Amino acid sequence: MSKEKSAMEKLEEKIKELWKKSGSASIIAAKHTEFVVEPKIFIGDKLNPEILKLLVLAYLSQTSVQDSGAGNVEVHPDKLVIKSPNGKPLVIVNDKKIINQYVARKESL
Amino acid sequence: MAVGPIRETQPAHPSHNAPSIGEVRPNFSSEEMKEGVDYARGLIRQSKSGPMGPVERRPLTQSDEISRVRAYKRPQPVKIGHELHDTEVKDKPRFQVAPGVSAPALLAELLRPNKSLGTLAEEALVEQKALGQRS
Repeated sequence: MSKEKSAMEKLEEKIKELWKKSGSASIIAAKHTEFVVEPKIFIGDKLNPEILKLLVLAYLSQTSVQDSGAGNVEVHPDKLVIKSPNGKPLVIVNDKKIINQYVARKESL
Repeated sequence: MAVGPIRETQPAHPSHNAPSIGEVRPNFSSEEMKEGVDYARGLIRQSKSGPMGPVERRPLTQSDEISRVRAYKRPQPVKIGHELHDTEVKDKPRFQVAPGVSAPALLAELLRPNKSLGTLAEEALVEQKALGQRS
């Protein structure tokens, strides 16, 4: 009897697919088998930092390409803050390379 | 400055009679062997008597090794008044989640631009909230 998966389990599977598509997945090839290394989505009650990075980059690429009303991104010289619709800060990005890329993409639009 | 006669302080080594380059002498004669052994014994005798008396010769123990490692790995004294510079702050995380934000809520927000994943993340968030209320 197959147990119906919860929304969280389905979401985890979808994120793992996204991870594979992003090219981050590593494959260990043995003689007759192949092991695809899958990340853990949650580590304890927190999001895996690698998954967080992937999702933040996807979020920023989508918000800069199209104004989908996807959220509020506040850009500072040294940091970038992703806010929830009610203005509460969610993620702070300190990576200067990502900030510069985001700003450049915004300006080119 | 006058230079005195050069004196030989070391006894002549038997290798002084060694074959010249290119000359092959496969076996030493018994006389040569005896000379070599006597010379080596003399060297050992010399090394056993140091300037501070006879040198203690014993195999290295574990405590010798430990003291040697300690001498190499002694912690450096902390400089008083040393200020941290920007380049020294290496462990600043590149992605910081704001305090008080749960993982499902974060997922719901980050996946919102993606239609299918966004809906699923919303469902998962509702599910997690319901589970939290039940427990």
